[in-house]
Amino acid sequence: MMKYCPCLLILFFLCIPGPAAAEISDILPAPIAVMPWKLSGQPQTAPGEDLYLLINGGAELVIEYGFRQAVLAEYCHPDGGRLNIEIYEMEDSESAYGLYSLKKGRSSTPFTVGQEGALDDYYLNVWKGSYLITLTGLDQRQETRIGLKLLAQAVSAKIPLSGKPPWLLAKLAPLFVEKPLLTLIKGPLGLSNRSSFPVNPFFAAGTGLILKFPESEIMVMEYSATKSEGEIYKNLQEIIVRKKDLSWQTEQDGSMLVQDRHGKLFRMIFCSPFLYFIAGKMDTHKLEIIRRALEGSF
Amino acid sequence: MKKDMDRRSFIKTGALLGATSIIAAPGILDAAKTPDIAVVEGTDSFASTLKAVQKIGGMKRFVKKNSKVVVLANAQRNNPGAYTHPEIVRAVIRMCREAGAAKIHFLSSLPEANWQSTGLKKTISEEQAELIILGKEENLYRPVALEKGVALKEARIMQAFYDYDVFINMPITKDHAGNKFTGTLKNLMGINWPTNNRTFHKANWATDPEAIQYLDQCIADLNTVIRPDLCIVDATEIIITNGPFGPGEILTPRKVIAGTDRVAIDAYCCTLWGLDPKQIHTIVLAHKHRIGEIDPKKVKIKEFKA
Repeated sequence: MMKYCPCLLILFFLCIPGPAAAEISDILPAPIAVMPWKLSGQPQTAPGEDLYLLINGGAELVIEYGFRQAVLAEYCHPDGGRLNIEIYEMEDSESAYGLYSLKKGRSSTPFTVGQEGALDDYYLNVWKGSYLITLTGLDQRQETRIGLKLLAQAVSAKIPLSGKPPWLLAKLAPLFVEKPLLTLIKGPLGLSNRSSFPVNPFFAAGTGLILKFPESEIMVMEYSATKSEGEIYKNLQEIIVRKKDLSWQTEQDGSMLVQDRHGKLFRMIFCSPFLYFIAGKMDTHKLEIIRRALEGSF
Repeated sequence: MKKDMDRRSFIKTGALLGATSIIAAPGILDAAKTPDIAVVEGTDSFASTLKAVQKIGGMKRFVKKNSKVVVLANAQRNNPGAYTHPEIVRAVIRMCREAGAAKIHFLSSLPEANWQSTGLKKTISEEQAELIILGKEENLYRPVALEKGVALKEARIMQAFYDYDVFINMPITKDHAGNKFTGTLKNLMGINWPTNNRTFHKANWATDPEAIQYLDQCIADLNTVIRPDLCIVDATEIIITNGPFGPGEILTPRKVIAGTDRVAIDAYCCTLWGLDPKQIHTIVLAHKHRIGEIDPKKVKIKEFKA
């Protein structure tokens, strides 16, 4: 037993996640952890707005969620397989989760790695703490698909566990048997990329959760609780009225029915501190479930 | 995904190229029957490209003997569906050479590593064309006043660009997180100074949704001072989410599109994944600049099988 102790000790220390990396490239896996996969060329790193140099126009959306730094690298297998890895360090776990929820595919399957993982046809997204890890297979070899998972696990092991799923998501995700696609929104780009709601005027520095069902879409926006319900609602009405491409009417229940110039209709309901939007089939039953779950928290 | 050219494919493509040259000789095609945009669908991207160009009059319509050709392909990232397919690039080089081009150059401010990892550098080298990587120094880019610019008043175009006779624009069409769509119009940012491109993104875009459209206006403005002679668009395997970089959901229309009207081409391309061109601001604003036609009924678009 004694002769195994040093090996067990080494294995033990390899598995302990280290502190948050000052250099993000430190999070790339140790060569021994991902053999026979090897780093190909030099990793590319980018702090802050330098992200534009790495991913051009794609940088805006990442920055919208609250971005710190990133590293991109390519790995290759002796049998010819290749894959890309991108690691994004975000401002906090909510930012990282938000970006993860946006990037994972609509038909992804859960994969057990990090705090949450989503496996798609040829790519894998992982959320852990303040980090998003995206791995992309560049070919359709079986070993590449295995490599995605191997590298995901190796990188995840080096990231400290921190934070929890965003509050809104944790509250609403378990409510429905028919699981909606959930996307956390922190800005107008995320909103325009993931929803059918017109961006104007609904983005006003808040956090939103989009629940996409097969026939409807419900968005819950959370605003600052320091403003009164009447004030926020009035501001939104003023914005809508100013927008020439929107028409609206107030319903008997106090909600607003809004139509954009393309004929898309949605309903807006305000119950402090949340604003609810429904598009598609006006499923008031689902909306009631959400409202009761959230209002029960206050 | 990329594939290497084996001997059998080489012989087949040589035969296709020869056939295209005969059919496309000047005077043989009827101008009235020539479509404005040719869309060719097929699994062989090389063959589809040859046919698409042949159907709009052949490469000799655009490339004269001894002309210097500059090509703008997309090597942004090697994720599937995010870059111009090497076989489409190969077909274009071959057609240009067949038409008598003296030089065929690919200009780029992207790192050489991008061209390497996408396989495009290998293809360009195999076909004996040239990849020229430009630095990002200001003096390499010529200031160009945009008289019709609404948001952008000055572009900074690659100085080297002006040394060529023919410009072929070769984007891949795909999703874009910034403005939902990218195609021939947005690809032209590739010959504009990267530092100038950054000004297309307004500082307050994160809090002012109106600012998102500033990007679209700048792209439309940029297109008023550059006019490609020919656009050949990769719509074979494209990402329709998480663009422009990917990874994202992949759509495989297996189409190559050739034409000269950027607005019409982009208006067609965005419909491949269900977008309405009238809701894509870049297309609408470019149409307002009279760069091209947004109404498909006013454009002769013909679809072919490879």
